[in-house]
Amino acid sequence: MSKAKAGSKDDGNPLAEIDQVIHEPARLNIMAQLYVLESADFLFLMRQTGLTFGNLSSHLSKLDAVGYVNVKKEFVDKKPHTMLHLTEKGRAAFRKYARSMKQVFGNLV
Amino acid sequence: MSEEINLKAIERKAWTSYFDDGLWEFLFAALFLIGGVRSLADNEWYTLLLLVPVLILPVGKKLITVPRLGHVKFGSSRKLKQAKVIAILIVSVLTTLALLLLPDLGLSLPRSLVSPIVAGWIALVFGLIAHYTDFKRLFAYGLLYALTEVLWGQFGEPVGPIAQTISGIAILLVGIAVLMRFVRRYPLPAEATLNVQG
Repeated sequence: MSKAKAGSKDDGNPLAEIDQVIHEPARLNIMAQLYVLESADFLFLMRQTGLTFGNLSSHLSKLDAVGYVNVKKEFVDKKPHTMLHLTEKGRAAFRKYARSMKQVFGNLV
Repeated sequence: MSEEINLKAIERKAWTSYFDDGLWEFLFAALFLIGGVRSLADNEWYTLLLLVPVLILPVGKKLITVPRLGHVKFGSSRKLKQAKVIAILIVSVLTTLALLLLPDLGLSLPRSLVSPIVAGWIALVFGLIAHYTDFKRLFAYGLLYALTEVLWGQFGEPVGPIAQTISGIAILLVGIAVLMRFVRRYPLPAEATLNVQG
């Protein structure tokens, strides 16, 4: 389930359009990090987000499941490596989320 | 979700975390120290020591920074800034070489005249690189280098080389402090983390 509607879509409520996958603070942090980078490995994301190993892994799995993040396993200096980057779908979803949030707070303030 | 996300700040923090390992301080300290010691020793062979700073960054990044911070590829805006920095460095190296060749062309000028020009040029180059790399400490190192150049021009040897050597030691101490902070902030991760599948 990539979107949970807070209200009916038909009543023009911008809250209804907020992507609940991205809306979780840790996942929002991960998406923001990957949005400004071309790619990063697991360790770098851990350092930048401050999340624990298990936490980051769990959230990345959710983002991978909806197709927002691509997990690429490769070898660097003969050591296994996991590089992560946002997919085009993920980048579009993040931009849409940002617009939705601006609209929400623009209407409230 | 009321906090405003500043994407530029996030990108800048990711970028500057890669700089806060003290390696650039070691590089500049080595350049300062080798230049100063070379003049004090009055031995041109010390120039060969300049090969050492060349190795500091690639070896240091591989052994110290990347194992603690991880791998990252920055976006197109940062790559464009890096390209500008490389262009600035190429121009500055070529200009410096041209200045060094002036005596051979019979265009030697007194150091007291050349020094302020060189000092201004160095400060400008360091300032531009500091701006494009978001590495703010580089402003201070540029000014320090410019100051030593002016002292050298005004007072000659041994004041100039001594000033350069002292500057190198000061930058080295900063580098050691920065490295210690980096190592404490980013300890080596457990092997399981390095081999994680996301």
